[in-house]
Amino acid sequence: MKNKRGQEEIVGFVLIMVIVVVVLVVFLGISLRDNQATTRESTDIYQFLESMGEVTSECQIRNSEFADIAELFAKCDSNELCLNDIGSCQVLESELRVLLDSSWNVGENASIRGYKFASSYASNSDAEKEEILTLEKGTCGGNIRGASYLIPAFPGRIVNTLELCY
Amino acid sequence: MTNSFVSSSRGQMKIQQMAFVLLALMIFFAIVALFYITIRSGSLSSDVEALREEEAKEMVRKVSSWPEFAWSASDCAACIDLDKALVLMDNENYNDFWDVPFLQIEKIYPESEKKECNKQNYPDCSTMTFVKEEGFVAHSAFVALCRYDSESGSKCDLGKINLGFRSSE
Repeated sequence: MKNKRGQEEIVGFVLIMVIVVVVLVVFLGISLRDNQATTRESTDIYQFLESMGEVTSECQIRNSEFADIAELFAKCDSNELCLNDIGSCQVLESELRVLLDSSWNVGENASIRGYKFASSYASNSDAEKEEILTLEKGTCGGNIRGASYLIPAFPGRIVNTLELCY
Repeated sequence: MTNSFVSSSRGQMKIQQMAFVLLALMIFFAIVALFYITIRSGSLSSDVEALREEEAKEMVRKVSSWPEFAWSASDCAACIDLDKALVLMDNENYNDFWDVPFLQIEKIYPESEKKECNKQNYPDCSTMTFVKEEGFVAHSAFVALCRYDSESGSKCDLGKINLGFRSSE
Protein backbone atom coordinates (compact mmCIF):
# COMPACT_ATOMS: atom_id res chain seq x y z
CA MET A 1 0.00 0.00 0.00
CA LYS A 2 2.80 2.37 1.07
CA ASN A 3 4.80 1.39 -2.03
CA LYS A 4 1.85 2.19 -4.30
CA ARG A 5 1.39 5.62 -2.70
CA GLY A 6 5.11 6.34 -3.22
CA GLN A 7 4.79 5.39 -6.90
CA GLU A 8 1.81 7.77 -7.29
CA GLU A 9 3.85 10.63 -5.81
CA ILE A 10 6.76 9.91 -8.15
CA VAL A 11 4.39 9.91 -11.16
CA GLY A 12 2.94 13.25 -10.01
CA PHE A 13 6.39 14.74 -9.56
CA VAL A 14 7.54 13.51 -12.99
CA LEU A 15 4.37 14.98 -14.53
CA ILE A 16 5.06 18.39 -12.98
CA MET A 17 8.68 18.26 -14.12
CA VAL A 18 7.56 17.40 -17.67
CA ILE A 19 5.13 20.36 -17.71
CA VAL A 20 7.83 22.73 -16.44
CA VAL A 21 10.37 21.48 -19.01
CA VAL A 22 7.83 21.82 -21.86
CA VAL A 23 7.07 25.41 -20.83
CA LEU A 24 10.78 26.21 -20.59
CA VAL A 25 11.48 24.71 -24.03
CA VAL A 26 8.61 26.71 -25.60
CA PHE A 27 9.82 29.91 -23.96
CA LEU A 28 13.42 29.26 -24.99
CA GLY A 29 12.25 28.61 -28.55
CA ILE A 30 10.42 31.95 -28.69
CA SER A 31 13.41 33.80 -27.22
CA LEU A 32 15.87 32.22 -29.68
CA ARG A 33 13.59 32.97 -32.63
CA ASP A 34 13.51 36.63 -31.59
CA ASN A 35 17.31 36.76 -31.47
CA GLN A 36 17.75 35.46 -35.02
CA ALA A 37 18.78 37.91 -37.75
CA THR A 38 15.67 39.74 -38.87
CA THR A 39 15.40 42.03 -41.87
CA ARG A 40 13.11 44.97 -41.45
CA GLU A 41 11.71 47.00 -44.34
CA SER A 42 13.02 50.55 -44.31
CA THR A 43 11.48 53.60 -45.99
CA ASP A 44 14.82 55.39 -45.72
CA ILE A 45 16.64 52.72 -47.73
CA TYR A 46 13.83 52.52 -50.30
CA GLN A 47 14.02 56.30 -50.78
CA PHE A 48 17.79 56.04 -51.14
CA LEU A 49 17.52 53.33 -53.82
CA GLU A 50 14.87 55.32 -55.70
CA SER A 51 16.81 58.62 -55.58
CA MET A 52 20.15 56.95 -56.33
CA GLY A 53 18.76 55.71 -59.65
CA GLU A 54 18.22 59.31 -60.80
CA VAL A 55 21.82 60.43 -60.17
CA THR A 56 23.69 61.35 -63.36
CA SER A 57 26.79 59.23 -63.90
CA GLU A 58 30.05 59.77 -65.79
CA CYS A 59 28.97 57.38 -68.54
CA GLN A 60 28.32 59.29 -71.75
CA ILE A 61 25.53 57.80 -73.87
CA ARG A 62 24.86 60.55 -76.43
CA ASN A 63 26.61 63.70 -77.64
CA SER A 64 25.88 65.75 -74.55
CA GLU A 65 23.97 63.25 -72.45
CA PHE A 66 25.11 61.10 -69.58
CA ALA A 67 23.36 57.97 -68.29
CA ASP A 68 21.76 57.98 -64.90
CA ILE A 69 22.58 55.18 -62.45
CA ALA A 70 19.30 53.33 -63.16
CA GLU A 71 20.17 53.14 -66.87
CA LEU A 72 23.68 51.95 -66.01
CA PHE A 73 22.38 48.71 -64.43
CA ALA A 74 20.84 47.65 -67.77
CA LYS A 75 23.96 48.74 -69.66
CA CYS A 76 26.21 46.83 -67.27
CA ASP A 77 24.02 43.72 -67.61
CA SER A 78 24.65 43.76 -71.37
CA ASN A 79 28.33 44.73 -70.86
CA GLU A 80 28.05 47.94 -72.89
CA LEU A 81 30.78 50.51 -73.25
CA CYS A 82 30.10 54.22 -72.67
CA LEU A 83 30.77 56.73 -75.49
CA ASN A 84 33.67 58.14 -73.49
CA ASP A 85 35.35 54.68 -73.63
CA ILE A 86 34.73 53.61 -70.04
CA GLY A 87 33.06 50.29 -69.21
CA SER A 88 29.52 50.79 -67.89
CA CYS A 89 30.14 48.25 -65.10
CA GLN A 90 33.31 50.04 -64.06
CA VAL A 91 31.48 53.39 -63.80
CA LEU A 92 28.56 51.75 -62.01
CA GLU A 93 30.70 50.01 -59.40
CA SER A 94 32.88 53.01 -58.61
CA GLU A 95 29.98 55.49 -58.44
CA LEU A 96 27.83 53.15 -56.37
CA ARG A 97 30.57 52.60 -53.84
CA VAL A 98 31.07 56.35 -53.37
CA LEU A 99 27.29 56.91 -53.25
CA LEU A 100 26.86 54.28 -50.54
CA ASP A 101 29.85 55.47 -48.53
CA SER A 102 28.77 59.13 -48.63
CA SER A 103 25.15 58.35 -47.74
CA TRP A 104 25.63 55.88 -44.88
CA ASN A 105 28.19 56.11 -42.11
CA VAL A 106 29.46 52.54 -42.03
CA GLY A 107 32.20 51.28 -39.73
CA GLU A 108 33.14 49.34 -36.62
CA ASN A 109 32.50 52.34 -34.39
CA ALA A 110 29.39 53.53 -36.24
CA SER A 111 25.83 52.37 -35.64
CA ILE A 112 25.81 50.73 -39.08
CA ARG A 113 28.34 47.88 -39.05
CA GLY A 114 28.10 46.95 -42.70
CA TYR A 115 26.06 46.84 -45.86
CA LYS A 116 25.20 44.46 -48.66
CA PHE A 117 24.08 45.77 -52.02
CA ALA A 118 22.91 43.39 -54.73
CA SER A 119 21.55 44.05 -58.16
CA SER A 120 20.05 41.35 -60.36
CA TYR A 121 18.03 40.98 -63.53
CA ALA A 122 15.04 38.66 -63.94
CA SER A 123 13.07 38.31 -67.19
CA ASN A 124 9.91 37.29 -65.31
CA SER A 125 8.91 36.46 -61.76
CA ASP A 126 9.68 32.71 -62.09
CA ALA A 127 12.93 33.09 -63.99
CA GLU A 128 16.24 32.62 -62.25
CA LYS A 129 17.91 35.86 -61.28
CA GLU A 130 20.99 36.96 -63.17
CA GLU A 131 23.43 38.80 -60.93
CA ILE A 132 24.60 42.20 -62.20
CA LEU A 133 26.60 43.56 -59.29
CA THR A 134 27.17 42.97 -55.58
CA LEU A 135 28.90 45.29 -53.15
CA GLU A 136 29.67 44.56 -49.53
CA LYS A 137 31.34 46.40 -46.69
CA GLY A 138 31.87 45.64 -43.00
CA THR A 139 30.27 42.85 -41.02
CA CYS A 140 26.67 41.68 -41.12
CA GLY A 141 24.55 39.78 -38.64
CA GLY A 142 21.88 40.43 -36.04
CA ASN A 143 19.66 43.38 -36.79
CA ILE A 144 19.29 44.11 -40.51
CA ARG A 145 17.25 46.84 -42.21
CA GLY A 146 16.73 46.68 -45.92
CA ALA A 147 14.63 47.44 -48.96
CA SER A 148 14.32 46.50 -52.60
CA TYR A 149 13.62 48.74 -55.57
CA LEU A 150 12.52 47.57 -59.01
CA ILE A 151 13.70 49.17 -62.26
CA PRO A 152 11.80 48.12 -65.39
CA ALA A 153 14.16 46.68 -68.04
CA PHE A 154 12.18 45.18 -70.91
CA PRO A 155 11.38 42.27 -71.09
CA GLY A 156 12.12 41.88 -67.37
CA ARG A 157 13.15 44.01 -64.46
CA ILE A 158 16.19 44.86 -62.40
CA VAL A 159 15.92 44.35 -58.64
CA ASN A 160 18.22 46.42 -56.45
CA THR A 161 18.45 45.37 -52.81
CA LEU A 162 20.30 47.14 -50.05
CA GLU A 163 20.68 45.74 -46.55
CA LEU A 164 22.20 47.73 -43.71
CA CYS A 165 23.53 45.74 -40.76
CA TYR A 166 23.30 47.26 -37.27
CA MET B 1 -10.58 6.32 16.72
CA THR B 2 -6.76 6.59 16.63
CA ASN B 3 -6.73 5.14 13.07
CA SER B 4 -9.24 7.65 11.74
CA PHE B 5 -7.27 10.53 13.36
CA VAL B 6 -4.02 9.35 11.75
CA SER B 7 -5.58 8.95 8.27
CA SER B 8 -7.27 12.39 8.60
CA SER B 9 -3.97 14.16 9.44
CA ARG B 10 -2.26 12.29 6.56
CA GLY B 11 -5.04 13.47 4.25
CA GLN B 12 -4.55 17.05 5.42
CA MET B 13 -0.84 16.69 4.77
CA LYS B 14 -1.59 15.47 1.23
CA ILE B 15 -3.91 18.43 0.59
CA GLN B 16 -1.24 20.82 1.91
CA GLN B 17 1.38 19.22 -0.34
CA MET B 18 -0.88 19.59 -3.35
CA ALA B 19 -1.69 23.18 -2.44
CA PHE B 20 2.02 24.01 -2.21
CA VAL B 21 2.76 22.36 -5.54
CA LEU B 22 -0.13 24.21 -7.21
CA LEU B 23 1.03 27.49 -5.67
CA ALA B 24 4.59 26.91 -6.84
CA LEU B 25 3.35 26.10 -10.34
CA MET B 26 1.21 29.25 -10.44
CA ILE B 27 4.11 31.41 -9.30
CA PHE B 28 6.35 29.81 -11.92
CA PHE B 29 3.87 30.43 -14.73
CA ALA B 30 3.25 33.98 -13.50
CA ILE B 31 7.01 34.72 -13.60
CA VAL B 32 7.32 33.23 -17.10
CA ALA B 33 4.29 35.24 -18.30
CA LEU B 34 5.65 38.45 -16.76
CA PHE B 35 9.02 37.90 -18.42
CA TYR B 36 7.39 37.27 -21.79
CA ILE B 37 5.08 40.32 -21.52
CA THR B 38 8.03 42.56 -20.58
CA ILE B 39 10.00 41.43 -23.64
CA ARG B 40 7.00 41.77 -25.97
CA SER B 41 6.01 45.22 -24.72
CA GLY B 42 9.62 46.38 -25.05
CA SER B 43 9.74 45.36 -28.70
CA LEU B 44 6.25 46.84 -29.27
CA SER B 45 7.32 50.29 -28.11
CA SER B 46 10.38 50.17 -30.37
CA ASP B 47 8.11 49.08 -33.25
CA VAL B 48 5.85 52.09 -32.61
CA GLU B 49 8.87 54.39 -32.58
CA ALA B 50 10.13 52.92 -35.87
CA LEU B 51 6.69 53.29 -37.49
CA ARG B 52 6.48 56.94 -36.43
CA GLU B 53 9.94 57.54 -37.87
CA GLU B 54 8.96 55.92 -41.19
CA GLU B 55 5.78 58.00 -41.33
CA ALA B 56 7.76 61.19 -40.74
CA LYS B 57 10.16 60.25 -43.54
CA GLU B 58 7.23 59.72 -45.92
CA MET B 59 5.94 63.18 -45.00
CA VAL B 60 9.35 64.74 -45.58
CA ARG B 61 9.55 63.05 -48.97
CA LYS B 62 6.28 64.74 -50.00
CA VAL B 63 8.17 68.05 -50.08
CA SER B 64 9.64 66.95 -53.43
CA SER B 65 6.12 66.98 -54.92
CA TRP B 66 5.38 70.56 -53.82
CA PRO B 67 5.00 72.65 -57.01
CA GLU B 68 7.66 75.03 -55.65
CA PHE B 69 10.27 72.24 -55.78
CA ALA B 70 8.98 69.67 -58.29
CA TRP B 71 11.26 68.76 -61.21
CA SER B 72 9.06 68.77 -64.29
CA ALA B 73 11.60 67.86 -67.00
CA SER B 74 11.08 64.13 -66.43
CA ASP B 75 8.58 61.91 -64.65
CA CYS B 76 10.45 61.70 -61.38
CA ALA B 77 8.71 61.70 -58.00
CA ALA B 78 11.98 61.73 -56.10
CA CYS B 79 13.48 64.75 -57.87
CA ILE B 80 13.78 68.35 -56.73
CA ASP B 81 14.43 71.24 -59.09
CA LEU B 82 17.51 72.84 -57.54
CA ASP B 83 17.34 75.90 -59.85
CA LYS B 84 13.80 76.63 -58.67
CA ALA B 85 14.91 76.13 -55.07
CA LEU B 86 17.70 78.68 -55.46
CA VAL B 87 15.29 81.28 -56.86
CA LEU B 88 12.82 80.59 -54.04
CA MET B 89 15.51 80.96 -51.40
CA ASP B 90 16.14 84.56 -52.44
CA ASN B 91 12.49 85.44 -52.96
CA GLU B 92 11.22 87.61 -50.08
CA ASN B 93 7.59 86.81 -50.93
CA TYR B 94 8.24 83.29 -49.70
CA ASN B 95 9.66 84.30 -46.31
CA ASP B 96 6.40 83.51 -44.48
CA PHE B 97 5.32 80.78 -46.86
CA TRP B 98 6.96 77.84 -45.12
CA ASP B 99 4.75 76.68 -42.27
CA VAL B 100 7.55 74.63 -40.75
CA PRO B 101 10.31 75.57 -38.30
CA PHE B 102 13.10 74.06 -40.40
CA LEU B 103 13.51 73.33 -44.10
CA GLN B 104 16.82 72.58 -45.72
CA ILE B 105 18.10 70.88 -48.87
CA GLU B 106 21.46 69.15 -48.48
CA LYS B 107 23.70 67.80 -51.23
CA ILE B 108 25.34 64.44 -50.47
CA TYR B 109 26.86 63.18 -53.73
CA PRO B 110 29.05 64.32 -55.40
CA GLU B 111 30.64 65.88 -52.35
CA SER B 112 31.17 69.62 -52.48
CA GLU B 113 32.57 72.18 -50.11
CA LYS B 114 30.38 72.54 -47.00
CA LYS B 115 28.83 75.95 -47.50
CA GLU B 116 25.42 77.55 -47.90
CA CYS B 117 24.34 78.12 -51.50
CA ASN B 118 23.89 81.56 -53.02
CA LYS B 119 23.81 82.91 -56.58
CA GLN B 120 27.58 83.36 -56.57
CA ASN B 121 28.69 79.86 -55.54
CA TYR B 122 25.82 77.78 -57.01
CA PRO B 123 26.08 74.83 -57.80
CA ASP B 124 29.39 74.35 -55.95
CA CYS B 125 27.79 74.43 -52.51
CA SER B 126 26.23 71.93 -50.15
CA THR B 127 23.12 73.33 -48.40
CA MET B 128 20.11 75.54 -49.04
CA THR B 129 18.34 76.60 -45.86
CA PHE B 130 14.89 78.14 -46.34
CA VAL B 131 13.81 78.49 -42.75
CA LYS B 132 15.43 77.75 -39.40
CA GLU B 133 13.67 78.54 -36.13
CA GLU B 134 14.19 77.29 -32.59
CA GLY B 135 12.58 74.14 -31.13
CA PHE B 136 12.08 71.48 -33.76
CA VAL B 137 12.63 67.78 -34.34
CA ALA B 138 14.20 67.18 -37.75
CA HIS B 139 13.63 64.24 -40.08
CA SER B 140 15.25 63.70 -43.44
CA ALA B 141 14.55 61.89 -46.69
CA PHE B 142 16.69 61.07 -49.71
CA VAL B 143 15.92 62.91 -52.97
CA ALA B 144 17.58 63.54 -56.30
CA LEU B 145 18.66 67.17 -56.78
CA CYS B 146 18.28 68.04 -60.47
CA ARG B 147 19.33 71.14 -62.38
CA TYR B 148 20.06 72.28 -65.91
CA ASP B 149 23.70 71.99 -66.86
CA SER B 150 25.24 73.75 -69.84
CA GLU B 151 27.38 70.71 -70.77
CA SER B 152 25.18 67.70 -70.09
CA GLY B 153 21.65 69.09 -70.30
CA SER B 154 20.04 68.04 -67.07
CA LYS B 155 22.15 66.74 -64.21
CA CYS B 156 20.99 65.08 -60.99
CA ASP B 157 22.90 64.64 -57.75
CA LEU B 158 21.97 62.80 -54.58
CA GLY B 159 20.71 64.84 -51.66
CA LYS B 160 18.46 65.01 -48.66
CA ILE B 161 15.55 67.15 -47.58
CA ASN B 162 15.72 68.00 -43.90
CA LEU B 163 12.35 69.03 -42.47
CA GLY B 164 11.72 70.14 -38.89
CA PHE B 165 8.53 69.41 -37.00
CA ARG B 166 7.57 71.57 -34.03
CA SER B 167 8.42 69.69 -30.84
CA SER B 168 5.52 69.36 -28.38
CA GLU B 169 7.60 70.41 -25.32
